[in-house]
Amino acid sequence: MLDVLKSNKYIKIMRMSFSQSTVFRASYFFGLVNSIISVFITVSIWKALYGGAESVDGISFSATVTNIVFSMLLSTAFGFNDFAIAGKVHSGAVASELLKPMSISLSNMFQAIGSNLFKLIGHFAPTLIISAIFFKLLPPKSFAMLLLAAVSVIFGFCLLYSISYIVSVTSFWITNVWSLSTLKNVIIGIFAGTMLPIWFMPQSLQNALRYTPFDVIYFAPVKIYLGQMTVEEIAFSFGKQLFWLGVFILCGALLWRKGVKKIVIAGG
Amino acid sequence: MIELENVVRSFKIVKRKSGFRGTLKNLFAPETEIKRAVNNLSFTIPDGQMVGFIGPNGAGKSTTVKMLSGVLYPDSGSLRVNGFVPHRDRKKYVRHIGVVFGQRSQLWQDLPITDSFEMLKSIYKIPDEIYRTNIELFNEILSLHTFENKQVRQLSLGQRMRADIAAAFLHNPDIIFLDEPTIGLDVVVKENVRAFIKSINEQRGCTVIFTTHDMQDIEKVCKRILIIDEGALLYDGTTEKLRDVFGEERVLTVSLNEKTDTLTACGIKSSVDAENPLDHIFRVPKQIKLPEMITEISAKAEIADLRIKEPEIEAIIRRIYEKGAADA
Ligand SMILES: Nc1ncnc2c1ncn2[C@@H]1O[C@H](COP(=O)(O)OP(=O)(O)O)[C@@H](O)[C@H]1O
Ligand SMILES: [Mg+2]
Repeated sequence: MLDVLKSNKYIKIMRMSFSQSTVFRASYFFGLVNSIISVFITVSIWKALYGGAESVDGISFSATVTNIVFSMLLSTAFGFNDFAIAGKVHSGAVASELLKPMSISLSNMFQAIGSNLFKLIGHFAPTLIISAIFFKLLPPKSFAMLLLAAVSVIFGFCLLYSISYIVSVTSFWITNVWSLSTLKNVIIGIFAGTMLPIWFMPQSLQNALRYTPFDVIYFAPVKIYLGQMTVEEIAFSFGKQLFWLGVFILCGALLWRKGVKKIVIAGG
Repeated sequence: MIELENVVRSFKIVKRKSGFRGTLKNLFAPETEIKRAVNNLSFTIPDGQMVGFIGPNGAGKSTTVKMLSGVLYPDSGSLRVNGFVPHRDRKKYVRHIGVVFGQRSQLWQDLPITDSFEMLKSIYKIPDEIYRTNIELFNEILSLHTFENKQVRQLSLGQRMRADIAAAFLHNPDIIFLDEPTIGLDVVVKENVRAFIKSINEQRGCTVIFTTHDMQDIEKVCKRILIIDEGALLYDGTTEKLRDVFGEERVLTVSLNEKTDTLTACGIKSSVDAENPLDHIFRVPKQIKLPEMITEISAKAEIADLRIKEPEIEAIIRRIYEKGAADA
């Protein structure tokens, strides 16, 4: 089993992408400093907003800080290059991928997993430890909830990736992927609750978000972690993640199948 | 077996204009032009054949190779390679082919070539046994071991090309497409590459198609050549036949023992070489038999030495390009 995993082509691609991420030391170091500073600033703002109160709207200060820190750190750890495919298509480098007996979408996904795994270990973990020391983050409700939260994070990651994949595949039709990518990042940033926890959003918006995939990207995992969801609610959130994942994967695959015909390999 | 039937592929080319008005026009009403890179191309190549695919710049060679290797969709017409439709069956099909684009490396830029090969081993699921024999064999002919630990981006062009060619053959493909594999290489490396391609073709019986500008490649390696221009086939046949049909004259140089005036043999007048007055040069059309000529000359003067120059493939091909499809 381990041997199969070791020699699997996609696992190899993931490992290669992981080790390539370790090369850029300077940018790694500055990224780390950058996210620690952002966490400090954001937490200070929330401290001022709470003004010493124990809880606001029934949400305790420590729960808010835990939520903010987790979603901020996860959102910086999970980053996808929406232009990766566009760049390869434009430069013609996609030819060498097309010439290999593998799925381009899967190989791109495992490249993304590899680099994100690096960020999770090299970025998310240390900033989380530092934040835990300085801001008294709440512990998980139980070990089981921690595990469920981890599963929820993985599905959240897949959701983010599948959305990013759709955006990157639109590059076959749209020359300016940049604006679409920015729009996508802003929308996710707002509605997934990385800026303002979903608790504090107007009730009507919260109700509307229940029909979207946004509240199960960062918010659901944190709520599971804090023990704020019943078993039924947890099951429902997993179902929702899988449903949207199915929708996005299908859209991405259809777009890819249409788009791949348009690839003109430059050069030669 | 490779079969192409009436394959057409066009590209839309946006004509960029310069100047202020031009820029505005580019922005709002770009002028486009449809370029037919491959125009009704049909040919068949049986298993195990080694075919040279030649044509001037922009003839459509690379476009054809890209369609044959499944990375580019044709507009119309049918392509079949060993029962596969390349673009449709891409994932299954590419396992059976090896491709080298001379202008672009297929290897991972940041990996040493040994790691790249290991990667290919996983991707193609190459059994250990075959992998080891292949690496040894390739090392022998291409001397890869001298740079195997360098990253691809640090290799010289010749080294990179050798690594790329080895990579394309690593999984024992049935069919190899090589798009300008000798471009920019020095004479020694070129010889190496030719020897390699030839020996693998003989040992394994794989089909090889390669495009080139180098006539030496054609003469030394290929038995059959396809010449295309403007996306259409101009010639399909052996190199010898090309000489017979299009090579109109051979050049016979006869060195005599004594100076003489112009000689005539079989109705051909010689011209005396200005630098070397003992040498007489005859341009012999292909319908005249050389032995007869030599007999006639030796009856008139004493021959010290003689040389025959076959028409050069390069000159013949240039003539075919110039004449175009109509006369060919
Ligand atoms: N991706 C592309 N976009 C636009 N035009 C192209 C593209 N690829 C090739 N062409 C055009 O098609 C013609 C044939 O190109 P190519 O097949 O590369 O020729 P060759 O390899 O024989 O030199 C050329 O006129 C070239 O400009
Ligand atoms: Mg070319």
